[in-house]
Amino acid sequence: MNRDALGKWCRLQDFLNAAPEGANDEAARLTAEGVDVQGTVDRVKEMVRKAYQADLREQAAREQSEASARAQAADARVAAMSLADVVQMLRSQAAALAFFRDKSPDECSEQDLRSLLADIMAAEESDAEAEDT
Amino acid sequence: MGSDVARRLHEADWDSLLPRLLWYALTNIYEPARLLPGGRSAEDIVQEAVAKAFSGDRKWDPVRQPDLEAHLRSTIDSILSSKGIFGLKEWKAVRNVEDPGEWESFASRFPNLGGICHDAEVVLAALQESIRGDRELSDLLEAVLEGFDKPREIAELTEIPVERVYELQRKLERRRSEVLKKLETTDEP
Repeated sequence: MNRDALGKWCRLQDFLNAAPEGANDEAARLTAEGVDVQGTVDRVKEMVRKAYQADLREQAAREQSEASARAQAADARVAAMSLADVVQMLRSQAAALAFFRDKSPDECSEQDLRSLLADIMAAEESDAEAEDT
Repeated sequence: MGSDVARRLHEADWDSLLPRLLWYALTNIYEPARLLPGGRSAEDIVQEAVAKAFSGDRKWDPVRQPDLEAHLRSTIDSILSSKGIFGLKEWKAVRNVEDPGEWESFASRFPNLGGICHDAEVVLAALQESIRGDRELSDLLEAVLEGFDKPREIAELTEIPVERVYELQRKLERRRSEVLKKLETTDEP
């Protein structure tokens, strides 16, 4: 094994890799070395763009799934409540007060009232989670 | 992957970052061949490092390491080591080794070291041959191979003006590249 040749080669690498003072032209030197600089930039940018898009899609799917789970949980909680409790809770909700500005709870069906409360509860939970993160 | 990481990577200035990373990879590879084991190139190593920033064992954590370039450099180091590529780190480890036992111990961790030494011999001979007749370049190369690495020292030794040594440094760099390209097409080394 010719260690001497390896040492000489490495010393030559050290010498040639040391950029002359003031020089900052990596791209030109890389191109002279046969390195495909622009091709690498294009490929990496494309890879990063695709990964970013995949991440956005993943995040949107995750948020949609979480929203669906929140809505189901709120529906279940409201279904377990009596109508009187539903009306009582709605009276304390600003969103419900706006909804009932032009009508009274008596004008709505029980299903409307339960859906409204479940929507409000799911939205509140979503806001609370957003604040936590 | 956290979306914040994806967004930061997406917004990174790759046009300026990648040439620096490619240069870093290239100047950290000391194998005397343009293509690395497995037919890889410096470009492949850098691309793999960026891919690892998104996932896997070298995922970027901007809280622990806010400097993306430093993170990717460290990933490049890790890839070079894991693939058994003879790089700057390995050169630093053996450059002052005198003890044969220590050398053997290093060689046992580098099964291809014999091939790398052989390639170095072939490339150096081809480089010397390619500049035969160019007195200045030959003098410069001989000085470097003897261990002189400072342009001012070389200028003193060879009596070539130091500004000219810098020019010759670039010329020799181009010759090295040409020789490696030529050997690559002839499958040597």
